[in-house]
Amino acid sequence: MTDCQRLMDALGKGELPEDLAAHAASCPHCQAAVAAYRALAPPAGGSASRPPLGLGLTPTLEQELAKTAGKRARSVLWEPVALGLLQAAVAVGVVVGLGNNGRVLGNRAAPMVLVALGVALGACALGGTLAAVAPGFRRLRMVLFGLAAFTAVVLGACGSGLPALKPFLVAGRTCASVELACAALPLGVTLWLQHRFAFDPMRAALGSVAAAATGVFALHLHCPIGTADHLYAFHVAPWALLGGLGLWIRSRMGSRSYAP
Amino acid sequence: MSRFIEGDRGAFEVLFQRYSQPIHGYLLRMVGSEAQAQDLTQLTFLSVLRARDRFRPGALFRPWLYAIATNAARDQHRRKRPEEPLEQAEAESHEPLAQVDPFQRRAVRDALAKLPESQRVPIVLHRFEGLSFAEIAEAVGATETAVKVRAHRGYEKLRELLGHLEAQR
Repeated sequence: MTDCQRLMDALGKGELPEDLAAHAASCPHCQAAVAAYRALAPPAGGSASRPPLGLGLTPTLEQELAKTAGKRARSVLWEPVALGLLQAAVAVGVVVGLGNNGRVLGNRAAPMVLVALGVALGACALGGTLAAVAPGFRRLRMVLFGLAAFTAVVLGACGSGLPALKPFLVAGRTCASVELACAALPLGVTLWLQHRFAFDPMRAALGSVAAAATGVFALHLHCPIGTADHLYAFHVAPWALLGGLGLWIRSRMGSRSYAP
Repeated sequence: MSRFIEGDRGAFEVLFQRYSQPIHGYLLRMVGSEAQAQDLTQLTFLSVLRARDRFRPGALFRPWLYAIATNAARDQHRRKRPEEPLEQAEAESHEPLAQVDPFQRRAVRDALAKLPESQRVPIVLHRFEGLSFAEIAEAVGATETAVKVRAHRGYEKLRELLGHLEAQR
């Protein structure tokens, strides 16, 4: 810990120790910080020392409190788990339901690529959902957001190269529609669950990206087209758009609670 | 808080009695309006009620509460600008700065308002609410080192902004 950081710790705890006072005298940054700290308020100041203003429980608080009386708080982890199961069911249902001339998998990429990208997309979808609708997991959110961005780049670059049999836009429209349809329900549930938290752009963006990854995962297994332009235009771009759309919708929704 | 999580209604009332005043003062400093501060105080405690199942066992209550209050003030700011003139809020305020002369009080308030939120929140929590940097880090979801750096930079900036006050003494 630097002397500047130690000095910050010592502020507000009475006189500065000799070594820190000497540091403050020689460091113009700390000198300024100490002066500003002292200028802000009388040493006795503090919200806790104020006279009471007569704040009381409002009827809304009373009503909400009455609902909790005698009830033990329940676990909140079942919600992301249930949403994860919904995502898995949607993805598997779409892949199996659409089929590929009697085969389940349509992607002709190398098995290693297929598995690695499948695992990455699964982690984005399920891990992202957990980190986006459960309390905590702040660092995991950033990691998964980075993983989603990396996966999106790699996804287009590691296709099988197999061209589409239909015209570019016709084939692409089908893929984009499947992706949107797969994402709709998970995205709606994610937004509903997220409105119980304070708005946090990273949480909101990851929640949308995770919900949209459901469709990307399904397409990854189902779609036989492996050209980079198709993958970027109709798998990756709708994923990014859905992520942005979810963030935009969430930013305009209210919050039922401001808890982090 | 653990008693409240178990369903003890009285435990919430104790928390409200103990913390509503400090939270109100903090919010008043953040939003500059007495009416909005009162509303946000109620919203903060409403959030505590609604989110009690998301409070991590063993965590500290005070940083969590201040995190909720900060989020409520941030959301208020994001949605609309304060409606009440600053002077009115100052006149109604019960904060310790009221002991200082009005010119200095306004200068301090204006200087604080000029800081970016990332510096203002750690400074207000540290200087006025008496939270440790570990608690502030918990409340704002950053590392302790990061909040110390932000507070240090904020204090330096305040020194610049308040330099004329020192000159007048």
